[in-house]
Amino acid sequence: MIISVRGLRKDFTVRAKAGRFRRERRVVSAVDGVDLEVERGELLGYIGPNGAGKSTTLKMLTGVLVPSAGRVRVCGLEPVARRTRLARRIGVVFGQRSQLWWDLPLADSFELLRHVYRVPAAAHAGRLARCRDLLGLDEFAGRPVRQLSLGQRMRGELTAALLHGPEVLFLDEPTIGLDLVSKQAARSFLAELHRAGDTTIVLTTHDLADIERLCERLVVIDHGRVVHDGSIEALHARYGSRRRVVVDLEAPLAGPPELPGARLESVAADGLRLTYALTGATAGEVVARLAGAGELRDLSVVEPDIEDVVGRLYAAPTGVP
Amino acid sequence: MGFVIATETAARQATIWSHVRICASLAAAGFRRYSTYRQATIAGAATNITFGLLRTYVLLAVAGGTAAGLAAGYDRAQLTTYVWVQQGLMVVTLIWGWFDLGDRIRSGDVVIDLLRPVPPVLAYFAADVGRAGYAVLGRFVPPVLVGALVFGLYRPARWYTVPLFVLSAALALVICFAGRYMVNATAFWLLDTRGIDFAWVLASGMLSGLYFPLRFLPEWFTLTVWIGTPFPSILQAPADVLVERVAPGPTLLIVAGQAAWAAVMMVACVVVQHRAERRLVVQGG
Amino acid sequence: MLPQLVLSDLQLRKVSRIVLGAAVYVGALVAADLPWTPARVALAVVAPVAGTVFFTALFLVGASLTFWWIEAAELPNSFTYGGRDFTTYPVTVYGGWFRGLFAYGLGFAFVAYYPALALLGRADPLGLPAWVGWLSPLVAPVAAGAAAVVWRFGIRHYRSTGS
Ligand SMILES: Nc1ncnc2c1ncn2[C@@H]1O[C@H](COP(=O)(O)OP(=O)(O)OP(=O)(O)O)[C@@H](O)[C@H]1O
Ligand SMILES: [Mg+2]
Repeated sequence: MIISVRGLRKDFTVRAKAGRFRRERRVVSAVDGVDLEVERGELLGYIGPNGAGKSTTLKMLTGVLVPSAGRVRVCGLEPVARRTRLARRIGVVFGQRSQLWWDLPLADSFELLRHVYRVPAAAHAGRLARCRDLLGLDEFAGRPVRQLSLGQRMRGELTAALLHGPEVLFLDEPTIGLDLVSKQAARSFLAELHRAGDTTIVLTTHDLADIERLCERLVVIDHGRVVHDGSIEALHARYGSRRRVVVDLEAPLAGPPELPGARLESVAADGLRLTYALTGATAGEVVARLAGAGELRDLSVVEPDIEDVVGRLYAAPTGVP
Repeated sequence: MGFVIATETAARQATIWSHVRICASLAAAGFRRYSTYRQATIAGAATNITFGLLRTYVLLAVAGGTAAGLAAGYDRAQLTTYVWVQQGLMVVTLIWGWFDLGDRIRSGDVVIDLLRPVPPVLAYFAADVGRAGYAVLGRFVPPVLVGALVFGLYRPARWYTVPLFVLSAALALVICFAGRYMVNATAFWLLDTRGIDFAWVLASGMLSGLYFPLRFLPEWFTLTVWIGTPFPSILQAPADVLVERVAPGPTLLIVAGQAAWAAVMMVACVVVQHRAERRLVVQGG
Repeated sequence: MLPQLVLSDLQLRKVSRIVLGAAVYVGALVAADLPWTPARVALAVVAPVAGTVFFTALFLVGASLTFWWIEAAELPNSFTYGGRDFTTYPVTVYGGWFRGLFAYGLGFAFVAYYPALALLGRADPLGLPAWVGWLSPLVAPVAAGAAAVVWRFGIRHYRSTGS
């Protein structure tokens, strides 16, 4: 286990104004008993609605925030006590923050990081060359960071987080605010990194396309608690999301047929388009039965939509889907 | 046994050496960072020169008004040198106007600093040394040259005065850095640090000898402030060393006092940082 | 826009500074035991007002300069705060080209030094005639005019470059 978390909690005391002079102290449990085990080489999606406690968890995993309770081990180290030592073995990208030297050219930041992390020159050059290729850095590597666009900077951030060859990469919303092209670039880069196999990646994002494209395993948290831990398929199964069959008919049927193993979800106003959710039957069976009942003009099979599931998950009260 | 100890020592030496190298590259980055702002350097140096002229004329008027032409024991050349060296030193030590750390704490960007494999105090200090190096070229030399051209400066009589001044200025930088760092670090505890910033500006302006040499004040007061606070060690001490205001023995005492304050302040700084990390609440998601 | 910017910066500390300054000024005038004539009274009232206008104009010029030199924000300090320090002492303290530039070129001598000479009925050791003191409040409208021009140009420059 490269990451092992037991009963992790973080309580914040917030002082809110209550009335004119009174100030009320309230305790917010940002992270409320999280258990998590991550194997070396995994790519984990860590998602949840705004304020769920994702960033707070990552801060505790990287050692910059002291947990209120619980046991954390990352690369076998206790993050808070061994923060500077752990720093050599992990890479971090916070989407809204920069670890680059603002006033210096991007290339200078990379060179500086080589010294700061004491990376052998050859290893550094190799990793940098790979990032340059995959992320197309050459175009802007000579420009001061403050003059880079968000997308360009984010490519720089990803590179900066990887130059010392970290065992674990923590990414907190790395694709926030990026356009499609930059998002694609970041995703294929991460996919490539994951395929290479020796970097463990923990990814936090609100972009579900990132998740669908990249993550086999998904941990969903809400109000500081883990509400799902498993594959995307398991999530679909658990929340009853189904594949659908949509057929267009030549002529409306007298009454749309009830089919075993499929549930009629909707009938278009003109009666020509029927949508069935598959509850056991295969798409082929459903299509065959419908073809027996009337002439089909067109048909399609719709995969379950992750937005849908996650939307329902987030809307549900804590822990109860 | 001996073997184990030997390897441990070797390992420790390797760590120290690598820290030195890391600090050197951070210092170089600090130097380059400030050198990208040419306009600001010129504007700042011009401002120092204006204030240097103002202060020199006022202090010379004070000296001219006395029978012996001395002001608190400084002659004309000493006063002039005092003023111009301080105009440069206040930028080299950056006695005012450093908010980097406080701003990063408030915005939460300080997490990035904490995620480096170098202790934050060390990393910030290294960068500050680089900044000071640039300030020597861009902000110390120009006003001192102008002072020399317009008024003429004091020529030290003792051979070791200039090296001792360099040491004294370096200690001043350490003391001032630690002070600034702690003032900024209060942002870990307080959301609004303006009161503390203001107190620092006031105390460091009055007690460092920037507005006027502390020796203008009663001796018991000067002595108390000098021993009891770090401020005179920041500007008054290096200037007094350079103009040879006191005999060799007391001059060495001044520098020794600076060394003591530098040690105290740095230790305090590390302790403050450690405390902060233990109760750290990083702002922002 | 300008009044808005100015008022937003007004604080209690600054108000108390004004009150203190006014108290010292009145106290000094009383202590000097001057032969009061209508002209003296008028000058005693007008001089601080003119000084305020003059410095306001100067700070405005300083702020406008950053339209051109954003990085050089520290430069105006040399004539705003520097000018303030300059006017605290009699101009005879200064010498050489520096006195020429600050006292007469930028006009700081006319803010406090010459009005004070006129109020006290003293002759100028630097040799300017006595009426200079009585006319010195006129630097205020001159400075205000100059500031208005610089500010306008600054705004126009800002709009055209957008930086
Ligand atoms: N410094 C703090 N002081 C008080 N409360 C905090 C602090 N930081 C976070 N919180 C609270 O903890 C909870 C979790 O915050 P966190 O930033 O971890 O959420 P998140 O899952 O990252 O959300 P988002 O998707 O919006 O980034 C929120 O309710 C937040 O208000
Ligand atoms: Mg977050």
